[in-house]
Amino acid sequence: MTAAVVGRERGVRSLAATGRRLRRTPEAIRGAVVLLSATLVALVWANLPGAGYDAFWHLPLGIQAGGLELELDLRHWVNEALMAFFFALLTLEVRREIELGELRDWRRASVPLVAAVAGLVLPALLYVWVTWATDAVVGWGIVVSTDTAFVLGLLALVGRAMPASLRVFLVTLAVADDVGALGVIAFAYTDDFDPAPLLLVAAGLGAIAAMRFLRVWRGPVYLLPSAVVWLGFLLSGVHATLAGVAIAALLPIFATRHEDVRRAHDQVRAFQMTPSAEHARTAEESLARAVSINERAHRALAPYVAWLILPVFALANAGVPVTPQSLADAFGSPLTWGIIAGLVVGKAVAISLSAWAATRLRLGALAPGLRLSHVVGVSLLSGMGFTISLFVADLAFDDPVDVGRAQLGVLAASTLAAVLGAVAFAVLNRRERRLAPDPGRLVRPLDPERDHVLGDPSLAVVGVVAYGDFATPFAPRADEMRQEMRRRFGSRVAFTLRHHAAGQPFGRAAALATEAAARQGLFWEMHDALVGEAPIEAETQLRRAAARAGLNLRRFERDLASSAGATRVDEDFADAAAMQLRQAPTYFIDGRRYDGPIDAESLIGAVRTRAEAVRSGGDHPKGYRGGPSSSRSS
Amino acid sequence: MSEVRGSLDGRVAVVLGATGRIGSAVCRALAAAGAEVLMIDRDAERLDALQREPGLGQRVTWVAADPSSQLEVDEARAVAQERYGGVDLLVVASGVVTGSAFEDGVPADWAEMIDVNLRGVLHATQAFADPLLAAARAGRPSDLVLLGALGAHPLSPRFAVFNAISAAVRQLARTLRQEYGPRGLRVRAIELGFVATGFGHLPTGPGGSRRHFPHASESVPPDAIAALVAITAALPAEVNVAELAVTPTTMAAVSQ
Repeated sequence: MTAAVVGRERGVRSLAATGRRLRRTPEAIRGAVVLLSATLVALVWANLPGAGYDAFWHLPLGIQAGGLELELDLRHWVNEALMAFFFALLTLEVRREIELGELRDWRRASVPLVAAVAGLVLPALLYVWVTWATDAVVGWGIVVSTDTAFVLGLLALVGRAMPASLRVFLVTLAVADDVGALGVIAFAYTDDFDPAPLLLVAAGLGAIAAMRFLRVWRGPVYLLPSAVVWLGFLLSGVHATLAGVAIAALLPIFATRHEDVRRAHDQVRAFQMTPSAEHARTAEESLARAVSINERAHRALAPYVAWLILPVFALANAGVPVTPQSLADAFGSPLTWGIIAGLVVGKAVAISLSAWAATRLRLGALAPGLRLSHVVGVSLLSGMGFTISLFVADLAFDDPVDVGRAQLGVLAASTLAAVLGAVAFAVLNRRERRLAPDPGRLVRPLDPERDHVLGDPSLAVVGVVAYGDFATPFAPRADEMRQEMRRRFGSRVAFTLRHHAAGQPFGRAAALATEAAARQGLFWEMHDALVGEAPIEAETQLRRAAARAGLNLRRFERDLASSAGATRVDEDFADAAAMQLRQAPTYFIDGRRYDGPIDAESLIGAVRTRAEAVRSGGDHPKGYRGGPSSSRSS
Repeated sequence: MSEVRGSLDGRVAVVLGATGRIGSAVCRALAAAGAEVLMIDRDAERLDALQREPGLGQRVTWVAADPSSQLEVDEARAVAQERYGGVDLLVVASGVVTGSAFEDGVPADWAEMIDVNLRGVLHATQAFADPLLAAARAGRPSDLVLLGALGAHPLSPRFAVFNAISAAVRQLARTLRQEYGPRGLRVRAIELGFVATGFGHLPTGPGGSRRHFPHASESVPPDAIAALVAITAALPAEVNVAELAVTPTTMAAVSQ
């Protein structure tokens, strides 16, 4: 083979790799790219002579029903109606985190909340200080808010190596910040506040709460009261996007219940046996019911928000006319500098300092794995006020000259914040890679002396390590996956199971139970029995599983009571925490974390790819076979 | 019958298969001799009916448990421990009998016999070994009584599998006696020639015709067996009647 051919092959391979990488690019990055493109289009459009950017977005558009008429211009339809969905989506995320995720713990939620409040107040004060005694001082609302969509997109782009909890921190910060900003818009920049229509809001929210109480699960039924709430906010003069926040805050969220999943499974099975329209309907219903309306709403909204609402919003708001004269004028005015100071300096200082103070004063704590330096990076990014700032600028000033100055200030501040944030994360990324273990890498290689291994590690081509949790309702799927893998690969795969309590109350007890069973040589039998019992919600289930696994119950109980194997369980838990594993099961294939979808087909595909790579000899197994113990022939 | 009233005062007995013909007779006899009796069987209704019998009442309580389920037997043990603080007499009287010409045998029937007659005995013995040994350690009489069947009976050539399992239980009793005798626990096997409807609790299988029960022509009355259980348990702690073969008088002697 000549060097040229090798080079070409390599080129083809890298091209294919790029394609794969693009397809695997996180949604948020693709969203950010689309958003950025829309912004650039808007900027170009607004600066093309005779393109009619402003005229277009000021086109009035109305609905008339009987004597009632609702007319807004195009930009307001975008900003007040479409954006309500965006805020609804954010609120759904925060609610989910509050009830099921990171923010369940008030101590963790309190840090981003404190930071958000500081991030609202300090930039405004800074702005007021810079613009003091000028007419521009009324524009303080421009600097209070962060452009959530942009910041999240940018974080996905520049902060890829960052822990996942940083995103949760940012989302919480951003939503609190947005609610504050909406309040500012509503109360500081509303000329005609009318409390009466808020009754409509109350009625609509009441209806939604009632439906929630009655466990209505059909999504479309929620639309009508939602529209009423939105209209109420709009008529009252309070910013109508608050409707999105209020409604989403009410949507029920619950952890998926095992019995619902089982019922759905039964119904689908019934449909399988008798594929009638009747059964199709009940199956569909039970499937939808098994997932909370919050999650279904999130799934339904997310693509529209990312691909339509946010780009259109950027298109409608980012079109700032830029000319040499306007630039010179803007950078000579305290207004522009006030915005830059408020957004770039104010946000960064306020968020970093308040987060530091909150953790120092023990008001709260950062999520594990999150450090103050991460928060500093996020605080720099938060200076991207962008669209919301532009929006407030439009409200705050009547004089087009002032509006133009403010717009340029926002543009400059947002660009600056983006650059600073990107630099900060470039530094952080490098440090992260140097300091912390690669979260995609298995910290403790497969060790046949220590681990419970199914299959013969000395014969196997590929080693799969799963961090699983028997207490979760979804453990059965993990087990089926393991069986499927064994069926497909037989002895070519060594399968290891380690413990990972993904926040389940009986996670540790179940893990200890398998270790107690391992004392009687029945680790896998106990595993299967526990999987049959999942979800584990009571101590007695452990005993039942033990009996089913054929254990000596007296010894089992004695070992369980003395926490035999606790060291190993806790080691596994600590490893899982260090690797920031969030879901159970998480798989490692030859020491590399598997990030694809958790279903048998995808996982087996990944294992096969790996097995083929090993067999072709181009690659050596990593992550196991490395230790001295691996040369054992037993 | 002839059990001595008060001879088992202060003893705590557990009877597995308590609602069978022999099991219920054993419960009555033990209660009459003064023991506290915990009755275990599958059928809660029959247990309840048995408890309501005149003369039993105060002395007996029951727990519904499947004698072939390790977990349920172990939970019954926990109940006994909790109610009485210990157990010093275990009678395993549960068993099922099915038979046919060997080549016509139904493997599911074999499995059931193995589950109840052998595995059940193993589980029960293991589950109660701790309290029984504890009583023995304290110097009190403590008995493990396995009710079994005499094998190779001339009337039962069609019970090859049943007899094989019975032989296994006999071997179990003999070996356990070696293991537990020195530790003060009396292991006793009481073996019967076939009695009217087999022994213990007889579940009626689906279809019924599949099951062949022994001839009813000659049998030992259950009360007599129960009396033997009570009398042998009441002997001084240093004496064990290790094995009893109980047959109708007219039945020919049995070789083992």
